[in-house]
Amino acid sequence: MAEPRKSSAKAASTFDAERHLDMMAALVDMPVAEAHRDGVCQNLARIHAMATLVFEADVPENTEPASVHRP
Amino acid sequence: MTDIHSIAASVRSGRRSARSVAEETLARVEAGNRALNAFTHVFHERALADADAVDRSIAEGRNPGPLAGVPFGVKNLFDVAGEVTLAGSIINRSNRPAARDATAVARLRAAGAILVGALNMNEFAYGYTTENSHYGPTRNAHDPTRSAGGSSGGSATAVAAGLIPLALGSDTNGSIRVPAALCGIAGLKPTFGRVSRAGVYPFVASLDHVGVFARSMAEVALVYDLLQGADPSDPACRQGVVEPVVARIDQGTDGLRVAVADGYFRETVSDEALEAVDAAAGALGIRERVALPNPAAARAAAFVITATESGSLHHARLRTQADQYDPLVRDRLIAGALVPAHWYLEAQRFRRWFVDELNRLFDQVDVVLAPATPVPAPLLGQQEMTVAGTTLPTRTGLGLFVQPLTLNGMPIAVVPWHPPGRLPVGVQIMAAPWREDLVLRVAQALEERGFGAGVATAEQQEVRHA
Repeated sequence: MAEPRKSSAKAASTFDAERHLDMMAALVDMPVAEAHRDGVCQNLARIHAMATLVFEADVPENTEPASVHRP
Repeated sequence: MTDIHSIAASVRSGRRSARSVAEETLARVEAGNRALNAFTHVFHERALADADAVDRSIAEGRNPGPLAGVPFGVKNLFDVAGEVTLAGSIINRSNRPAARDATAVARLRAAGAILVGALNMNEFAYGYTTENSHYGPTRNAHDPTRSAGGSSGGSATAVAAGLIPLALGSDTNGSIRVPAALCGIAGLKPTFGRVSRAGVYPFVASLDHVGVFARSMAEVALVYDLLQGADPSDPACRQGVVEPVVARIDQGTDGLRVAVADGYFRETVSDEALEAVDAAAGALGIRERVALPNPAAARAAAFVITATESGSLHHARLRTQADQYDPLVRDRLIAGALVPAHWYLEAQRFRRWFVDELNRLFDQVDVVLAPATPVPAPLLGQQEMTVAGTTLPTRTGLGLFVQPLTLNGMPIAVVPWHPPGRLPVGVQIMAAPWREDLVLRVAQALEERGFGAGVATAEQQEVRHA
């Protein structure tokens, strides 16, 4: 079993929700109406904060994703 | 109205007709639903036709089933043959009617139960408050100014108000456990894969569970046993294992290692919710506490997985019909559709670690208790709540203690704690995957020691309004 690791630079970034929205929306072909932008950005910031908590968790490096879920 | 066992016994013995039960139930639903908005559709003709079929079975000497004549409702994401499955949305109104009942609905109807209606929910099951911009909020039967919890709030309110004795709901991040607690009734989220989800509108494929609301654990156990069984139509349930629990829930807690969840679960929590857990520990005579593995990150991983999978599920319609989504849900789904794969896969890696760690923990203890929600029911429309000095958004904060615990698919029951003159809260009772028997034994023991549901009568509702 590998030693626990801290995920590297992944956690340390400053998150720009507006920029993220513009780039990802273009990549996945998701038009976002002007009226919806603020709400989407707030939710992106919340998801990013949650993802950061996950990045900071000590999970051994060789842990596989639980893509096939068996309780 | 009375309990599931009594209704079935009276119908099976011929003391009452299923039709009279159905007629009485439909009248009660019509009268009681106006103030609570639990039902989005009432199936008058279907219910009376099904009740007549049960009565004919009895007249012809056939077995009408263990739930003969028992009225029930389903969260409106369950397929009902001939009806359009709304899942709390207006977009789905243009879908074709369901060709057949969801497996869970079919199993209850085959057991003689009478489907009387479909129940309100957060749009596409995304939320903890059953505030729905299309169909209005469902109100808490104990105080109609307050939330019923969600997303299966219609199911919980209908049972708590005594409109029906039984309802089905779904639980992806706590959508059975939160409303059961805030409405003060019994709820069960079985092990992931135990009960078929075929014909249930999806939210997050790897987290979606089907479960039961009733007013006692004995009733929950009876229905849960009837819902079990393999179903090739649900990939998670294909190899379903049938392990009936009804005969086992009265075995008591002697010999069981029960502990209270420590740390995270005792920090951002109200006095009322903590009192419930400590009362449960006191009732069972337990002092042990255990720390669950990184619950904050478990909640975060579930949050990321939920956002990503649901955003992907709705991607095509969000591109062209975003304006038809509930504004309370739309922006969350769009944001979820923009999550990078790396965030999602890191959450799934964490999940694997969490599952393994929890399995190790269940080598040491059999059952763990934790609060279901940080607070009793918040007011409808309440944007924030302050809990133990911490301010949380109400719509996500209600999931603080349920969301971390869906990740490993373990069975969890909620028993209500409802002191007179107060709003109810709930205690989560969890065990290793596939050990519903242990969960229900402890839940039953607590019901025998002062936990459990009361009925919010019309008189009580008026007193609260006065």
